Amino acid sequence: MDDEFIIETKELRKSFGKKEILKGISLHVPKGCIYALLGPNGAGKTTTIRILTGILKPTSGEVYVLGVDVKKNPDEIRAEIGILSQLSAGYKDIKTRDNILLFTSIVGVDKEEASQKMMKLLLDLDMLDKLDQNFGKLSGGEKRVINLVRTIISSGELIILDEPTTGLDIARAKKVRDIIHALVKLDGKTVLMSSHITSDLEDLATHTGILKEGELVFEGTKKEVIEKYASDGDFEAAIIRAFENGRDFPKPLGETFTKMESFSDKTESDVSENGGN
Amino acid sequence: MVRKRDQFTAILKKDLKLVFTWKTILVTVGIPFIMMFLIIFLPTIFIGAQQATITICSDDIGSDELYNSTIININLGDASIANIQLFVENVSNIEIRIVDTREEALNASNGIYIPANFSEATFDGKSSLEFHKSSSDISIQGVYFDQVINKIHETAFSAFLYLNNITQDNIPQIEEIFYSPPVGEPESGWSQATLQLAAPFAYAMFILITLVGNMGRTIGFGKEKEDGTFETMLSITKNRAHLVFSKLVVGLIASLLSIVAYFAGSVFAGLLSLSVIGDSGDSMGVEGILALSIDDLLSIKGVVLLIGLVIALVITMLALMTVDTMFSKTIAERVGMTVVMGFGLLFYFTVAFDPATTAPYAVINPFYWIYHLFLSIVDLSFTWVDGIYLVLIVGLLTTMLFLARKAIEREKVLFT
Repeated sequence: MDDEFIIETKELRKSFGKKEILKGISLHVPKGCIYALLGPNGAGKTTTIRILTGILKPTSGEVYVLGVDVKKNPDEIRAEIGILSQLSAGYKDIKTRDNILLFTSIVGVDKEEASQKMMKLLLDLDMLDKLDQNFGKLSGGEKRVINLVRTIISSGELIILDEPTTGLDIARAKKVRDIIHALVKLDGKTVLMSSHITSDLEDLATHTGILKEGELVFEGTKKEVIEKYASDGDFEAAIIRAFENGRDFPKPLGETFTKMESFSDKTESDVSENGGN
Repeated sequence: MVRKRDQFTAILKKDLKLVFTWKTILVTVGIPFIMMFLIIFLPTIFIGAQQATITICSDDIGSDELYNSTIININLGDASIANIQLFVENVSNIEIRIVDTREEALNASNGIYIPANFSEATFDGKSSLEFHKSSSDISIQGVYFDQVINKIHETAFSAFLYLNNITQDNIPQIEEIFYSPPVGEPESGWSQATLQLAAPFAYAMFILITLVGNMGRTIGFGKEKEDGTFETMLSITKNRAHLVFSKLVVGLIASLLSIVAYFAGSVFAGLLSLSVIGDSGDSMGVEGILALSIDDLLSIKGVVLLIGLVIALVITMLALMTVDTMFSKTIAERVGMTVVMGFGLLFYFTVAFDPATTAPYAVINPFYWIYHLFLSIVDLSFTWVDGIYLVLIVGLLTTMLFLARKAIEREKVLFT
């Protein structure tokens, strides 16, 4: 494995019975970037994330996350990554505050530290008043945000978010994107996020992997996908074309990223103008 | 990096927090207490107004005793009946029926037979009488029956003390022998005292299995799947066995609370029943045939039976948890409770009709293994059969723990 990458997979395959969900994907996620794993529903994004986080075992291939061989030692990676699953998970009958603190205590975050971070994040998201409400009383979008807050507090160097803005209203989705951006820019974390909403990631992603029916059909920086597929600079159109053209990589796998600066060294304007490259 | 041991403590705290919500406290503590209170107290109100008929036969021929240098014949049987009739004159709903034969008396619902040598044996120091009591201890008939028996003791003691002018150090002993009709007489190595514990023990086990079965769904993996927290827990728990063990510890604590609430409810209702039906001071222990008496509860026997109940509840919790991890949520909810309730009902109805049964359909039931083993321990009559039951119980617990531990690693558990 290459130390440049916080996540690296080689020929990753996963089958459920006779159905092959992942057909040999090789991901390369550099440290300090926001990596957007894109693809329509059923493309294999969630399965990929579950393998990366040690929940599922791959059928074949190699997986390294934070330098850990996840296939051999899935226990070691658990509790070391902040993970937001697609579900709006939480114990309905207890308070939102306790829901967050119970999970953060399980991953070993000090209660005082977790409380402070929780207050700050919820203040930014205008949700402080929800703290003493039972989790079950929150709306779907609010539950999603609480899950995100819990994930951020629990995270170490790496955060994996499975469709983080799904179900959020426009204003709250924008705030969530700002928080994710700050995590990378200010705290030096790496974020891998999946989505099937391309516009959601336009301002955020520095790197892109596009999944189509279990195959990684494109992997490269944001700039590369735009240059290759959309001369007019339209990110969304570039993603759609990359998806339609099938398997295509700007450079041999992995080579692109090893020469890149990390996202955290760049300004926000650099990111939006140059796609993080 | 969080240590695995620290993670277990945090997971345990989380599971405890989930148990101590108002909803689960109601299921764990409130329902057992209220249910036992109603089960014990309500019948008292209804039964309390009914007539109590007690059938007595005395064949006592009396005994010649020396009193002030004169030989006099004292018949304690007749004197006891006279004393009892005096007692019932002031109680409107007791009827005393005097019959001529032992069979008539002992085949009646509530009957007492005083044998021919009763007076003589009493004055020799130790006599016996036979009785048959089918009324529950919590019923007014049961309470009055005890009072009538006490009147016989009272008569004998008074006469003995009067004749001998002695202290309580050498008062005679009257042994009460419980008579069971020949039909359906249990073939059991257990003593009569142990058999009397069988009904409340079996009933408590059945009720608690039902309650904890429902509680298991509230605090088990089914609830985690429903809340969507199961995937998160799987992704952040380094040692997934901790998820199983934590639920088990919490289930154990909740089970203990349920047991305490169950007995507290029955004792409280029993005491309240006494105040409703009236306590003439002669009879206590109206906690009921469905509940262990306070004396039994506080004895070594009580502790042994409580351990038996806890093990039965742990098996229940573990069975539900194993099913939860092995099958989809929908199937687990149906299969888990069906299996637990099926075995629970089969167990209860089997032993309710014959507490000492060894029928094949009884001995295949894990709850029966516990029932038999712990009653044998109480009876101090542990046999090789109980040894087999002990091995089966330990084997079942170990197997279910192993299955739950292994099943939680399966991918299928995540998606269903």
